[in-house]
Amino acid sequence: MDFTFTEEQQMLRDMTRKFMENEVKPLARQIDDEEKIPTELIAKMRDQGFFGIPFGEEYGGVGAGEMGYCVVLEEMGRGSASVVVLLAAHTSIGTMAIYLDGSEELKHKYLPALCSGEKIAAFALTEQGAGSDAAAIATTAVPDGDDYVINGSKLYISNGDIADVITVFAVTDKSLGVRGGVSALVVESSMPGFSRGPKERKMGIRGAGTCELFFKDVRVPKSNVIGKVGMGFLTAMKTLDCGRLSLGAACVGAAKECIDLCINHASQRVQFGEPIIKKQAIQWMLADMAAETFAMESMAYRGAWMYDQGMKTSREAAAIKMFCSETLDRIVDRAVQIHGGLGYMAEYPIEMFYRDSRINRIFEGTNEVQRMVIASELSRKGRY
Amino acid sequence: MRIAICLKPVPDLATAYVSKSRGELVEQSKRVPNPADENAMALALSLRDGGEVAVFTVGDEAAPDALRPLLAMGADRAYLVDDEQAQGGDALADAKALAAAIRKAGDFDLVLCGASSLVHEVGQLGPRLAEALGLPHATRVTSAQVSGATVSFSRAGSLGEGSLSLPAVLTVEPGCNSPPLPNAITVMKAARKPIDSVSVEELALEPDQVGAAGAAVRLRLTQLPEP
Repeated sequence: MDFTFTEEQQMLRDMTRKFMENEVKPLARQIDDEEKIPTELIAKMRDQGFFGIPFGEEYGGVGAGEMGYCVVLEEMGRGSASVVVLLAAHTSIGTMAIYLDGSEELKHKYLPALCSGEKIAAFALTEQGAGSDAAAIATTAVPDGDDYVINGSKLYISNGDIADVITVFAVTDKSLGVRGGVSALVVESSMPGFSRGPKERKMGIRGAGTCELFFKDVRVPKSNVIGKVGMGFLTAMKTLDCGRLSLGAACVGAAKECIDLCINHASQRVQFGEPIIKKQAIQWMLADMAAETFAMESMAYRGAWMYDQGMKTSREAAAIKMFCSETLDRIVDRAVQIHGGLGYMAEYPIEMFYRDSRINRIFEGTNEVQRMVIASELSRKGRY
Repeated sequence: MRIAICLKPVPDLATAYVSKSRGELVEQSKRVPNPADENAMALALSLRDGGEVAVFTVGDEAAPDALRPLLAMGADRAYLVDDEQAQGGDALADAKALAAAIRKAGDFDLVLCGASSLVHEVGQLGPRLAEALGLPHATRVTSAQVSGATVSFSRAGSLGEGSLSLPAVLTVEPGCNSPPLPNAITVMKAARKPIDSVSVEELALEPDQVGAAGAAVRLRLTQLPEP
């Protein structure tokens, strides 16, 4: 087995790391304090080609596949979770739904601008009454001539504040239920009847915009349906599988950054006559963090490799998302402890990593949903 | 403009360390471009005017790790003298190999390299290269412009300004400009750009002119100064 990264993947990693060091890390605290990613930084991300990493070159993408995308997200995870969420919501769910299931016409209509970052995407599934129970969505899309008319609202939508192109899941035939009665449609923010709520104030990932979206008689051409009418729920699940893979990679980056910060701090902090890195209590915490990070890294990249080979990865994606999010929470908690009081203070980035980490167990499907996915497949297969 | 860049792959000093017991630098990760050569590349990109930029280096199988970033920055192709006989040389030996490779690849208007390498900071490659090519040269250039068949330049510190007729060799001062960060698209394209392998025989050189056999300097010991 060859576990080495390709030359392109290594160069993507080096390029992203330099970008994070030079452009993002210096702004990480400001992004958190002001709850906003500067438009100038988003423009620089566009120039670096970050918005089209996994998509095919025929659509204006970079063509680096899921492996290349995970490499980029890992490096970004070292710098700012808010920037990660902006990019991930755009790429691995918002744009990905169109890429996976859209017609060639739809793909050529939207993907070039999305891949270049000229337009930003969002994925609108969650509603007030439909979180983990995504099948309970109530937003409707009623056929009317050549259009569908959408009415309803979506809640907690990442990139909701800035998205130009939104993949919206709506009920097209209530009698058919979730299998056959839900469709995915591309809505442009410029379409009459579309509006956004104010940005939510959050515990973490404060720079990433999250808000409610409202659809009042929004008229969308039937050609904007992604895939077949009624197959939207499958599109949603396929897309979320993809998003979950790369969330693991971002967790790996955050974990590695925390470990590096801990080693640096513990090597300099002298207590009881020597640097605390000499103390076994600290050493064992660091050892656990490193071993867990190795496990996260191994499963994240294996999952990405499987995806690029065209293998089915629903269970693996759920396992990656579940394991990496819970493991990162343990790692950031130890990182705070190793730093002691400094880990609690806003002058140092550790507390941001701690707050930013918590959402990983909730969005992209809660970890309870991930366990449902895994258990369901185990039960269906009758074996591992 | 056809511009040749001479690149020295160097150890990644972020991860390398000096072994006291062995008296040598121990590398722990892949080779990287010499930073001053990246500054030379940045200057080349500003002067290319739609022409071609080619990168030349003497190295082994680790050399492409250092070549690809320059291809990602915008170089069109690369030439690697990876013959075993060419390895282990100093500035004298490497200058002969690089000059031969540049002559073989055609006529270049400008040859650029970093003024010194990160590891040994000897600064001899550029002048020795110019001698081997029979071209005029200027060292520690911080900026340059081309007008017709003349290159005008400023040099570091109090070295002042000057100009030379093309073709010429310039060595570029480390840190004098900001090498562009490749973007994701140029990174992917770089993987497809050609790196031509060149042997000592193809360069019509004798084995004792290149590599360790052709070196005038032998590295005996690497050590850090005592604190």
